[in-house]
Amino acid sequence: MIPIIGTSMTKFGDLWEMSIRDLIKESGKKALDDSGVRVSEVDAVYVANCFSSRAQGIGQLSSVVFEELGIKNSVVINGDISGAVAIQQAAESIKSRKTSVVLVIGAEKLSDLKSDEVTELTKELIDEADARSGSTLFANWALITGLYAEQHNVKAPDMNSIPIINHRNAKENQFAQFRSEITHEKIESSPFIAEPLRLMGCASLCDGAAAIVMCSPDFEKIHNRKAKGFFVSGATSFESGSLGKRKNIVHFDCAKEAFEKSFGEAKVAREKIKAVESHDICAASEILSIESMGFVKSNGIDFIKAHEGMINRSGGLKACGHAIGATGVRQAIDVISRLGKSEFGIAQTLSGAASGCSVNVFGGYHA
Amino acid sequence: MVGIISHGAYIPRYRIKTEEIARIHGKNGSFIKKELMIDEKSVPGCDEDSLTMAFEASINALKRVSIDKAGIGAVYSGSESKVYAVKPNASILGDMLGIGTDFTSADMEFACKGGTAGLQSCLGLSKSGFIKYGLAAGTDTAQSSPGDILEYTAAAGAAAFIVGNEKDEIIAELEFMHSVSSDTPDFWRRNMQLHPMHAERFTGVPAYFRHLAGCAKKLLEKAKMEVDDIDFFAFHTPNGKFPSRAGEMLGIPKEKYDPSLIVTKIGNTYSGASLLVFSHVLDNAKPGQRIMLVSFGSGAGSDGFIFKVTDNIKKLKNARTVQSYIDDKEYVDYAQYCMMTGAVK
Repeated sequence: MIPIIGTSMTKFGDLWEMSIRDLIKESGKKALDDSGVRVSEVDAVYVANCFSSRAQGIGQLSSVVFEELGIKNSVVINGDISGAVAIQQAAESIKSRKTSVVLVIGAEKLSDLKSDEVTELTKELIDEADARSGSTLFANWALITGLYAEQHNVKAPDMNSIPIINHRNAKENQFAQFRSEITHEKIESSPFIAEPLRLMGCASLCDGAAAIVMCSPDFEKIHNRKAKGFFVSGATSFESGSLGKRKNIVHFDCAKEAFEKSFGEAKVAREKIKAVESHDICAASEILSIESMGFVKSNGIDFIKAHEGMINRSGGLKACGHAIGATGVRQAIDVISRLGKSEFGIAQTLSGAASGCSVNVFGGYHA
Repeated sequence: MVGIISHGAYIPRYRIKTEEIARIHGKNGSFIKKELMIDEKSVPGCDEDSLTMAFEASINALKRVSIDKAGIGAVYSGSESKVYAVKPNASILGDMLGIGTDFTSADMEFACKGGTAGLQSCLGLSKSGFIKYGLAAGTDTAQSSPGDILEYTAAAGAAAFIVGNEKDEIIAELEFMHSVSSDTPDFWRRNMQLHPMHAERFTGVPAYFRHLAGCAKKLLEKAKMEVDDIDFFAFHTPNGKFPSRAGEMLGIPKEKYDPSLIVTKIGNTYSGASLLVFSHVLDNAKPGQRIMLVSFGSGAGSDGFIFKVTDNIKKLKNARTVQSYIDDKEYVDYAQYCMMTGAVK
């Protein structure tokens, strides 16, 4: 188990006064301050980001890390699940004894772009042939939602309880973009972004950053640091980006495999899971994630309703906001903040329209 | 002392409903109506432009007082839809009003706050004694790209104010003034471009609210006043939501910023917007009442004023009120609207 000895998070949302540099600098410095680790003690930085190349024209964030934090050895992980993958890579690096202290930063800045430009960018997250034929990220999610509704004999509005719960949870999260409750009526009166998905029922893609400091158990012991939580295990699995090439678009094989692999490695009983951060870019993505990870075979809506205090207590992507590259790191912080002795939690994040999934298992500070 | 001696307004009689614009673009009209707090907006007639509207508003201002027009030593027209790219609205306006040729004039452009910039200049010149009277108009046939969210709000209207320095004539004395400006790229139109561009949500917190609410706060500090000391707040009105939220942010009771919500029935008249609200407040104001006027122009900046209404307001003669223009309306459909605004020629 890899100790996590420092965490930090910026607010998520429209951070007009902060550039991608500011986000990296602030989250990185604060996580280091929180851990008590000096810059000179950091062996490597793993930076997770999805769109800085297109949104800010910055193709090399390693130079930004050096300029803003003074750390020379950094690795940039790209993609929408880069936050979760960066944590896995950092853990591997520590386990292999190549490093003993690693800073992981997830940062995304999308408010530099107009909304149609963001929509265009997110087409990169789905299969290129789907995108060429006019589909978008949310259009693919709309197809998944529509089929799920049809197969389970529910209507899309019946799934509104998911965003409603997540907004309610976000009220206690000082870093969340939306801390107000949302109603069924408000969702249903908002326009379709891709039928049957409505604007107010889907997550907003926003700005934000989160950072954690991970270290070897030896470093923790020798330097007398107090771990806030532990990274236990993690796995990532991908399948086809194209909906047409998948066997079943309403079961996420990638989520099942990532969960089984990471959870199998963790060797903990399922009932010890006390906190789950799940990928709720829309209601169906959370429902299907929970079902695909085996928490329940079907009726995911009812399961989530019955476990309101366990799943997406941060507000999830929907209410906390989805700062794409930062989300996996943000989820990790939210999960460990809710764990106590011998308790475990998972952070699950999807790539595109469920073409890939990362699941990380965390343990509480005494676990 | 210096202040307003008369005011006048003009709003075209044509209206288009939010739902009608939404219908054409396949959008959810009731959602947009609720989100923007815009029921309908004014549409300029085929023969109306920023100059004709400024003229109508100025005539209404002149109707309310018996002054020697030749005493008007300055005419400023604030607009971002001036009739010529190069040739001033203001000099034509002065000539149309028959005030002779002994006046200075210029067009003011600062997105939606060109009108209050002109008002400031008139107040300064009049207070210093360089001119007896000054006339400042804010007027716009607001532009927007078809299908853009701005199309639901971009409207047409004008307001004009005559400024003077004679105690017996001043109906609203200027007590305090404060302005803020910064380089904020929230809304712009480059040369030769037909329609303005805007930076979506960036037009909110970093632009409108930072400048307008910041200016209002500093003005209150400068005046050593509290919200309770002001009877009415006339804010710039890009839509109904923004002035309402600004009012809430500043802790202003709704009834005090309520006049700004005329925007729900006429839309955003750009340079005319905050001045139309101010004229609407003056239509109903009582002696002794204090009015805060705060404009906002993208780019960005705000001009703030505190005026105190005097007994002279009772002496004003009749002219058409803002409310009478709001009530006098004729609905057009989207096709007529396209013809009237020149989208179809």
